[in-house]
Amino acid sequence: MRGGSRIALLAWFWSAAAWSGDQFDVIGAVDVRWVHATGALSYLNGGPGILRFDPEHEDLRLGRAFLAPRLRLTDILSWYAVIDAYGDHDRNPVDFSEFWLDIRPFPTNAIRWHARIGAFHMPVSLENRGAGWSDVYSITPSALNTWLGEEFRTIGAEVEARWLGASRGYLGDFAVVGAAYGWNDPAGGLVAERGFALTDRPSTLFGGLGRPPDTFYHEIDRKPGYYGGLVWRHHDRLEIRALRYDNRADPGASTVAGGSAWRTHFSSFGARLEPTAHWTFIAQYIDGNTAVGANYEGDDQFRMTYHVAFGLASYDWGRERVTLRFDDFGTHQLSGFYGPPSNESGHAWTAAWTHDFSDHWQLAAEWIRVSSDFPPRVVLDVSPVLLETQVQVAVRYRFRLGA
Amino acid sequence: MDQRNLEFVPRILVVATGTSVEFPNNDSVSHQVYSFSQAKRFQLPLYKGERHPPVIFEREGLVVLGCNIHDQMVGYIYVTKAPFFGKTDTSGTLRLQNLPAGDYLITIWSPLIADPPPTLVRTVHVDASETAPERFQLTRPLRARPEPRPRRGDWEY
Repeated sequence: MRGGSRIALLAWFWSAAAWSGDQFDVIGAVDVRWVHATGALSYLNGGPGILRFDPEHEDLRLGRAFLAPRLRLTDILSWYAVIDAYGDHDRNPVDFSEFWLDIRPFPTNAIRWHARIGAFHMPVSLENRGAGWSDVYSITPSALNTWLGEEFRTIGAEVEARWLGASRGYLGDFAVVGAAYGWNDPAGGLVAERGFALTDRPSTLFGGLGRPPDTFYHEIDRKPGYYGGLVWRHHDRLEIRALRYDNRADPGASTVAGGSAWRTHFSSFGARLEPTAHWTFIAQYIDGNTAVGANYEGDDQFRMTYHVAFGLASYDWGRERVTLRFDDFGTHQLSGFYGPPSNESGHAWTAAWTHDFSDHWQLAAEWIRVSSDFPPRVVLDVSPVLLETQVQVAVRYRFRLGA
Repeated sequence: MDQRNLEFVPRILVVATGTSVEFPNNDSVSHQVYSFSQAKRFQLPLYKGERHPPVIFEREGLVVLGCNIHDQMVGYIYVTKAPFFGKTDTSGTLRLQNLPAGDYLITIWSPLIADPPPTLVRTVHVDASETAPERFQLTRPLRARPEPRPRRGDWEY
């Protein structure tokens, strides 16, 4: 992906903003927050810590500023984009996180087709259901969805066929989804080198994370990856998703600049239950493995399995929402030992509260405590065991322009 | 057939064949109403600030409405040739007045009724100047239909 195209797209959306009527609208938000953190320097700042902020980066911070424009081209064709700024030292202070062409024909029978072409998040997260893929339950998404935001973006095409049960007297629907994509060959490398993390700092399409920055969206072996999944929704109250992801990367492939292809595949399961008007329960689980390096002698190749899961309970009433979440994650290295093994084990507790002052203003507060053990940290001269705490209080302003 | 707070209002509309129905959109977001029911197939994009001519329902039968943007929206238009018809109140009562004497075929329908359709049809005789109460006793519980989960407007989907 080259940077020039994003400037052209930005200009195009800007000129589209002058269009009247219902063809163009944009949702935007600014999140400014006060942060207190204990523990190690965050990996975003070159340290071993797995939270977004750290004792050297606290007090007043920009959480996120984003614009999510949508341009309707025809009744069934629309362009979507998400443009982000995080106020850290990313080489791209403003960058695209997603942009895609959305094709949604009217159903002519009980099957409705839907396609996306471009760059977008795969349909796994049950937390990030807000505009611009934001988490509506807490400030920091789970370790699972943090990881998906950091290393994964579908850069390709996705097709969904949804059986519309309501037309047959059934209060729910069922969908089959599949995608083919490229530019995801480095996916898996970050979690192998750092372990899992809990941040609301996903990667952008052309930017990087950490110091020195890791970049993610490269095509190294010219082999497309795929995912396929199932979604079952029961009357807007229960949603169950399963997905199989495989980037089909050649773990022996690398670039002259040193970038490696990581063969990463996993199975993902998730359920969100909203049994009443107030309660939400979410559980998600991913289990998979990743590998890098040519397998000359069998055990030379770095291979690792991992699991990451969370359970969440949220209660909202009126203008308030409170959420409690438990995260559990771990990695286990199988071969390719050249240093301390990439065997991580960790868990985290998160408590969050949001209050909507109005349709536009929101106050969000969050306490998060994560305990993790990752032997490769000794290379950075720190203990492999870290206990980190982060408290954030965010003021958010949200707006919508256009119809 | 209005759209308010991502719902069709009313959820069920009963009309005679040949009736034209307006679809105003009183939400702050666009809707794309469609039906692929045999009684009426149509597609009606309802963008803000645009008005559309009413839709005419010429054939009898059930028309299930959906929104191509908001899958949770479901509405029903029951199109009938019957000379007398109506929608019950919340207690399940419908009063038809000034019926000429004669034999009538009564059919009841609701998306919530799970009883087999043959049990929902009955022939009755009506005498002039007399009330003729007819009571349908359902044998199966109504289908559960929880209210749609409230969402926080533009910020959540």
